[in-house]
Amino acid sequence: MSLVEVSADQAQIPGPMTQSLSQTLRPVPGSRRRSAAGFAGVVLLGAAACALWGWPLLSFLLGAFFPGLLHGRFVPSLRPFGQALQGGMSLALRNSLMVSLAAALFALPLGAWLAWLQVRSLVAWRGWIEPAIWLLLVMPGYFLASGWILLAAPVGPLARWPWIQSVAGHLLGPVGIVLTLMFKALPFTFLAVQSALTATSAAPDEAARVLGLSRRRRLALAATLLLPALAAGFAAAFAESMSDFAVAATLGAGSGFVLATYTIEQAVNAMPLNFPMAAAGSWLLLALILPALFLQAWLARRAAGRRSLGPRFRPAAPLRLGRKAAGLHGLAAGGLALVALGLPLLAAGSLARGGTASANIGATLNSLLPAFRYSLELAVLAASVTVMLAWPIAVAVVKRGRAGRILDFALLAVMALPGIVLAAAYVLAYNQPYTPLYGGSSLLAMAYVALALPAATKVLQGPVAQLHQGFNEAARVHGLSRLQALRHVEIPLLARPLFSAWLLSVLHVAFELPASELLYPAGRPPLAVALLDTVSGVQFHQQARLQLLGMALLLSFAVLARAVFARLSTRGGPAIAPAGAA
Amino acid sequence: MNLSSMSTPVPALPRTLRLALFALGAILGLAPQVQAATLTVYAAMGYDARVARAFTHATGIRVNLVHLSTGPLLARVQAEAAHPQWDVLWFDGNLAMRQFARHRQLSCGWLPAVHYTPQGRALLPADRCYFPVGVTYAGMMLVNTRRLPQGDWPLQWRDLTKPALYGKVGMNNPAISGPTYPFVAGMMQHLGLKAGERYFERLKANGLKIFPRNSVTLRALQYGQIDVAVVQSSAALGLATKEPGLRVIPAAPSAELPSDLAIGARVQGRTLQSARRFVQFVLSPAGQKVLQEGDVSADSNYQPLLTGVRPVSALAKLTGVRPLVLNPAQWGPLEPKVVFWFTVHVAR
Repeated sequence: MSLVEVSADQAQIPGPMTQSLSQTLRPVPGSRRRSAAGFAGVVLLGAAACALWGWPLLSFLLGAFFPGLLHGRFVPSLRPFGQALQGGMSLALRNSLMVSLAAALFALPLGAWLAWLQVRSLVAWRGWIEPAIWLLLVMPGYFLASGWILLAAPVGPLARWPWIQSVAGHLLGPVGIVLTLMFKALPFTFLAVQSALTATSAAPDEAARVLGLSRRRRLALAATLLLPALAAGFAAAFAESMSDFAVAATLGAGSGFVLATYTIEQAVNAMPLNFPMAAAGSWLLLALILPALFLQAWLARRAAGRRSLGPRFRPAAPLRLGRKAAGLHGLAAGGLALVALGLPLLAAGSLARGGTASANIGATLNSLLPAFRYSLELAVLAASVTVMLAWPIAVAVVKRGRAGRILDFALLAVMALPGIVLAAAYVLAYNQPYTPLYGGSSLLAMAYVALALPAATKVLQGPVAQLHQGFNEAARVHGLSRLQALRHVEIPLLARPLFSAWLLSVLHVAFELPASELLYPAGRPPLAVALLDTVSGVQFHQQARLQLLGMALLLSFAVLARAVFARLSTRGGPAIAPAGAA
Repeated sequence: MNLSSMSTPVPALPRTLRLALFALGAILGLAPQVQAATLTVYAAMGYDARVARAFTHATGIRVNLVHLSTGPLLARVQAEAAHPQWDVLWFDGNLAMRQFARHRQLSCGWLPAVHYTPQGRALLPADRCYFPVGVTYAGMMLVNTRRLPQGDWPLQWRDLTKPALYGKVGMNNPAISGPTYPFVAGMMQHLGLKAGERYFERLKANGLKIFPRNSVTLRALQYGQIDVAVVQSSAALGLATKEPGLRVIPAAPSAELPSDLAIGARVQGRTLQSARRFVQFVLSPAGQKVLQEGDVSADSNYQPLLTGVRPVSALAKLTGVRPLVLNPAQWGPLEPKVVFWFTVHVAR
């Protein structure tokens, strides 16, 4: 899901100086050494991609067609597909398809509306929209799902109003699933439309006004211009909902409304164990997700090509809404924020104070802190490795060579992959006598890197594309080595996006559920597993306390990390900011 | 983009920020250290963490505990078959234990120095591959009497198929909840395989709802999504003790569900000694005390199998139980087949 896209003219800033420098500078002594180092880098990246994705996914997914592969039998068979469809996969796929389509359909207008308010209106509170969207993006799905469960709990905040509580009870089934998936998909539709609105010139609307087109025709024209962004946002929201596991494992499993990712997990995490059936289920799920994601990528590329950023670009003037209209928009946005973020947090807050709170706080901390510490350690390690790998991959993708195009395609395919599929593939591939990594923290860290890498690369693609090649060449003219240029030119200029990618990866990894559930080592449950254990129980007060504490600890870490970065980075910071982050 | 800005001196961190960093470090530093691997225990018991702590306290031997639901635990053991990570296994159900013993995954032949009751001795396998700890019953009906009129209360298993209970009955998925397979197997042994299958198909036709495990099924009962929950006796007793409107009905017959401990076949040397000490500790009066106090809302409500250990008071509610003993050698190998049948015909 390309959260950050750069237009063609942003990616390649032409300049006579650059051209002449390029011509003057080749060949230079040491270029052979550099090309050897470049080759070694490509080999290393290839090896990493193979270990992270290639080998485990190949051995797992091929099992759907060669069920005896593990035992050295290469007899093709489609039996696993039959078993998967018989074993409930067809119903689970239908359920997933229905709720994902509904979630994406609802998320689309809401995301577009919020993006319009943020980009094209002058409402006083528009600055709050983007932080709220990012909060929604990093908030794990099981927090939201658990919020609904706590809200409808018999001892929950609605216990005094039985009829409201019985209405809230409907949130524990398909209605709550759609609602939660919609909120989780909202950032994707918002970011897609926000990016398009930012890059759309005022010229078409002005021309329409000059030609005297009616308001309805002008609106239709604006919608047509936004169509690729809307389609891309819808596809991303749909793919995100189809891949979700957290909601499937909480609200879905708890209400008997089985979703596809949960069925795949059951095949590798319940009796009887059946890896070929899980692989067949994964193929069926991917068959529904991949076309949506490729459509989204194609539309986003098309939209990027059409953008009118450049010397003649004039953004549309923001609209000052009347007092009544602004009030109505404010009321609607406030209501949305209350349902999306407020209600789950309020429900948890209300229940956290209940029971024998003071006596149990110590016990809660005792059970949570080891999990938090372990998750944070792994998250920091995995995010650091992720950023180190994401940077060269982003450079390769931006250069648009053959390797870049292959990497871009691979990243998109991996983004479509539900975390549970990758985790299942890891169990199979790294539990062999010749790859005995299963059961250790290193395998879990590898899975975290594999899952976080695509998004981190996408975050870095924009800033890397904006980094003018002339800086490197100027550094070489001034006699700086490659390493010195990296240290004194590229790292300072990319420090902020690198940090953003790192922090996003830390938060993503620290809350990660499916890989954690299948791969965590003996005696060391990560945060998500520790939290989910409480979600599936009936100890409502403890569940609420654990969730609030977990969230508070990680957000405190994020705030602290940002503060440290702000102090340590140079005053004013680099002039380059991630595209779309304005 | 200003290259000269790189030489700007890095400002010192303000005092508040340093304090905040110190506090975070202190929190992380003070958090209990995860112990180095000494004895790895895979367990699916509600009190296992407390038992592990008590064992470490009593013996100094450190325990790495993996706590999972029984289904995922069995799946993990199965997935690790080529490269097992565990030293001790502990879960409800001797059918799966028998399967692991059949596949030579368990260390057999040793017997802890304890005095079993006649019931305990009957559950102890002749090959000494696993050790019974306590007994619960695989399927027990828990009725929400505040929502269901007394005339509709089910008293026999066949009552669950009555139209009055359409859409009001829930049970666990035997693929995920280990204790549920013995319930399904028990019904099939009691009624006969085909008649047992037909019984579950009738339940499904009567709107049976399937949940992953005891806790989720019980939550559905609390939330009013169902009015009758078929769950393990220990979980039913635990919630009935806490919630006055719930009533436990032990329909006959009730499949016995022993919780068992086993040691891995590859465990050797000092680890084997530690594993045996762990088994001995769990079966000692001190260990049994931790078991009975460790999870009063569920697993502590078991029938002890050791002389001198009295059952917890909640068990007094279980009157008129007609136990059904399953033959592990017969029903253990059938588990994958029966569970798959259940998934295809009932759970989906």
